Amino acid sequence: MITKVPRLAAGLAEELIRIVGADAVITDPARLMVYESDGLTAYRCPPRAAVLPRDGDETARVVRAIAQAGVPFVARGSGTGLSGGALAVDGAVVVCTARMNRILELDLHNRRARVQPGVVNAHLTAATRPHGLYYAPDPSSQSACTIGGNVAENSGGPHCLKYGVTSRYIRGLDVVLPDGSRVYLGDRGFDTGELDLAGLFVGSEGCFGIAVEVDVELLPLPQATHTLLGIFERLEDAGRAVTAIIAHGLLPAALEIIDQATIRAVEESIFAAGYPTDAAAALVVEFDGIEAGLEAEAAHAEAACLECGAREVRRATSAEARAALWKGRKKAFGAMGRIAPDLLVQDATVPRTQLPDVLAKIAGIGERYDLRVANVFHAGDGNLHPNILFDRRDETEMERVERASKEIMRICVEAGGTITGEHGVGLDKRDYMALIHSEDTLRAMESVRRVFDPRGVCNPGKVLPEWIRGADPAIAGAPGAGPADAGQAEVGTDGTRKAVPAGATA
Amino acid sequence: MSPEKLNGSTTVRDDEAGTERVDGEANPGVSAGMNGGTVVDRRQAAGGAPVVAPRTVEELSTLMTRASRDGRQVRCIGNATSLPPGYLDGPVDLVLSTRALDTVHAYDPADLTLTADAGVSLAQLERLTGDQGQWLPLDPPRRARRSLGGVLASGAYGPLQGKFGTPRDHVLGLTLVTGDGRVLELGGRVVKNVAGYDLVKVAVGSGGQLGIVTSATVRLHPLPVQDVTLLYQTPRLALAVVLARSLATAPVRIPALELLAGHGEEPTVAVRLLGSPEAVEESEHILNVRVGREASHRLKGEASSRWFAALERFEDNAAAVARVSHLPSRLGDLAEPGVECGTVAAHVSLGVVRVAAGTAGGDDRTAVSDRLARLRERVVKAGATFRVSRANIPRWPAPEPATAPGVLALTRGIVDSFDPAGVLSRPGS
Ligand SMILES: Cc1cc2nc3c(=O)[nH]c(=O)nc-3n(C[C@H](O)[C@H](O)[C@H](O)COP(=O)(O)OP(=O)(O)OC[C@H]3O[C@@H](n4cnc5c(N)ncnc54)[C@H](O)[C@@H]3O)c2cc1C
Ligand SMILES: Cc1cc2nc3c(=O)[nH]c(=O)nc-3n(C[C@H](O)[C@H](O)[C@H](O)COP(=O)(O)OP(=O)(O)OC[C@H]3O[C@@H](n4cnc5c(N)ncnc54)[C@H](O)[C@@H]3O)c2cc1C
Repeated sequence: MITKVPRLAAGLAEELIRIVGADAVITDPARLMVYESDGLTAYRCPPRAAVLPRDGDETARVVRAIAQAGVPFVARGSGTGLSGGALAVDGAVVVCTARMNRILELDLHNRRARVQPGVVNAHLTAATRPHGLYYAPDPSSQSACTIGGNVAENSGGPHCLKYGVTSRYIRGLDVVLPDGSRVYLGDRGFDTGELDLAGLFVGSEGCFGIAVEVDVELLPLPQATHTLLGIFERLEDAGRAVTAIIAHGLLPAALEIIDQATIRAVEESIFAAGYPTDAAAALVVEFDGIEAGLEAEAAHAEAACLECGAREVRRATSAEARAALWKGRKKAFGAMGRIAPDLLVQDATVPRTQLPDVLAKIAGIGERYDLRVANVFHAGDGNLHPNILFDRRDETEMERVERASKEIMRICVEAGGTITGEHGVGLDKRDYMALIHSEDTLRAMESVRRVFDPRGVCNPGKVLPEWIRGADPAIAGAPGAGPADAGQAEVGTDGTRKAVPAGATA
Repeated sequence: MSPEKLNGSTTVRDDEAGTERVDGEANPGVSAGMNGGTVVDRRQAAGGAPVVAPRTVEELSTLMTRASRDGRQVRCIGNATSLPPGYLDGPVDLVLSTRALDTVHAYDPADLTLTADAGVSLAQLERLTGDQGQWLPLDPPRRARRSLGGVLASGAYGPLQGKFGTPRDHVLGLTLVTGDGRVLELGGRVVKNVAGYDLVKVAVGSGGQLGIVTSATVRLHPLPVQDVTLLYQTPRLALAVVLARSLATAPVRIPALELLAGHGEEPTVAVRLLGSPEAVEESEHILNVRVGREASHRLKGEASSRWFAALERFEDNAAAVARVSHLPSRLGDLAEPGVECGTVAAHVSLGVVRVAAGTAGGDDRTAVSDRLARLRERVVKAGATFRVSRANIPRWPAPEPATAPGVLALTRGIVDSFDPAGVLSRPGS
């Protein structure tokens, strides 16, 4: 699939090259393919250009130049996002943080680090671990995703049940605003009595500006960790065990469920973890902290699993044995990728107690649409990932995937939940926003976005439904931009350009 | 200046359903403590404005819509404990109280979530959740008397932030009636939610600039089985600082770590440990080994929570309270000037130091102002931030640093979008 996008005006290209050097400005369509989609591969849309600044100063100058030319732009970390957030729609220029990958300061006394946004999540923990510290938010993509992307998505991870999501750990942000000006949000001293603008920026999905330096808080490594793996005959029983463990007053570090479809995918793959393939679900329970007392907590959790019908509970304390218990969970996505050409990773949260009921309904939806749905999720938080396996070359299946997705979202919302727990709205879920927010609330969000980005040039087309955002007008003046020049990209009935779902044109 | 006094003041029902007027005569001294300075009659403080307590969100929304249309000035009060200095200065046309919004709407112990109106007090929540073996681990000053809405709106927190965070980390969603009367449901009721921009974060701690919080859903935690407080006392402040810092960098997560000094006893480092009996005992051991000594006192269970409850009253009788902050490692630079100014209570792992200067109603008001000015000068020189959070004196030093222009512009834009007519107070503008 080749989608024609507006070219970068020569003047702007020269200006960008002056700022970052020729090797950091990419305009060659073949090389731009790398940036045409993120982890949600159903959408593809190549950018007009990609620019890779090295630091905050260069980023500010790049953004100023782009903004002055009236061209929209979008920040991009590693492109592991699962909602199309980093996609360059509307002929946007990608500002990629890949070269801003330095840890600027490790302040061990204060348990803080100052990092550039392109630092990979796992690299930060690797750098701090020798000092007995770590960065707590641990998205399953942590070996690839960046801190900047984590900030933008307010990412979670398996251990966020106990430790909380990204926003808990961000102390301050040095941000380049969409007009190229720079502002520090948050406060190293923490107690200014001002609006929590850093908290607002976290989770703003790249629409409020580009974070160019991030002050994060680190935690001391837990002294010890105990891991359990419960094997269940019924998925609902695993869901009940989660509630029983919490009801017992225990707060595990992680509570993760892997269903039968996922177990089988893993066991058939090279990642085989030794989970029984006839089991309906496996539940990973992990406790960490002070060594003393973990044993008792693990024993309580084991009892709770058995009471809820677990046929077997495995336990591990050594690093290798624990890794073996986690393997099926950690390799789930990779394994699924091997059994179907395409994978739609869904994301929604429901109240924890609704899990058994909602899981049963999701299974029903899968059957009704004749689709394979594999669940692997953060059960302790009620954060579901019903993953739909499909083949995008099959157009009728694509349509069923879409309809099943919509229904899954609806039942999660009806159960008192929300349309995304950690992957964000991005491009993918804009039109679901009205399922959970009133028009007034959506308009309030749009007003706040306009405070940061009056011209609508920063990651346009994301998060809010178009009827709230309106057309983003700033783009019009730009030479070569705008709908008329959008080449063969799909033009919606309203005349606006839409990202092209890859399956539709491939 | 107690809630009993507010409750004891005569209230006169008038106008439409559910509104009431607080009669100023009943307790003339009360508002003095709130008004950041001038000793004035409450009615004068509020410019004779009626206090109205709407019973429903709709009523409140209607009042705000009208006020916005008519260009009137509205102030919101919760349980009457913690008005920022200067809050009642200037003309006020209407005071809205959230006290008639007092319903707990949903409590699902199995989900560890609770939805309650703004006027519900933290004390009520403590009783309700305690029966289920759960709690909301938020311990701001004057906790027991405060309303949920007030605590969230002011972002107030206490020692337990060390483990559990500040109000922003407890709130899953809230209802906000904006300055122009829109009713916004922000966030949700589930523990993980990234559906749209996180407006909850700006509403929490906004000091009521954006609107009035009418209800909120909060995340609860299981009550810890064991609750132990260790008190380490040393004769010298410098030693206490070293000890506190050494504990703060121990390989153990400490839920609450406070330094108290200038309080008439030896400088004291207080550590609160929560969890299973085994884990608490082991943590205690690790900490004692780290600092090479045993605690001077060890309080368990009720005694432990009582000690920290007493600390919640730390600010109560002060003429003024300053908050200074720096990197946690710079505690020594703040504690020493703090003790020269008044009584010090520091959130050690956060780097926030509270300094309570003088006594409310004492006659050393000018001296208090001068001492605060000196404190400000010294800590600012050390690179710390300074602000006065409560004041009962005529004048107090300005905050430092002033808000950066870029931050100010964003703040103004956001506040304008919630309260276009400028009906609510705008601290700092
Ligand atoms: C296998 C797999 C597992 C995953 N597991 C999890 C999980 O457990 N939990 C979870 O929360 N997510 C998970 N994700 C989703 C994804 O990894 C996260 O959203 C991650 O934070 C994205 O980081 P990134 O660097 O790849 O960002 P990108 O995908 O490049 O960008 C994501 C968004 O961030 C914006 N952005 C990037 N950098 C900046 C910056 N410096 N300033 C401002 N905005 C910026 C972009 O504009 C875009 O809107 C998973 C993804 C995959 C593929
Ligand atoms: C006419 C009048 C009479 C008064 N009479 C008395 C009296 O008799 N006795 C007495 O002790 N005090 C009295 N006060 C002082 C005042 O009531 C309190 O200082 C104030 O209510 C603090 O409320 P709080 O406890 O909720 O404080 P906090 O909860 O600490 O609130 C602090 C901040 O949050 C804001 N806030 C509180 N609730 C909300 C909410 N739901 N949504 C948004 N913002 C909110 C407040 O406006 C304030 O900025 C009076 C004030 C007035 C104007």
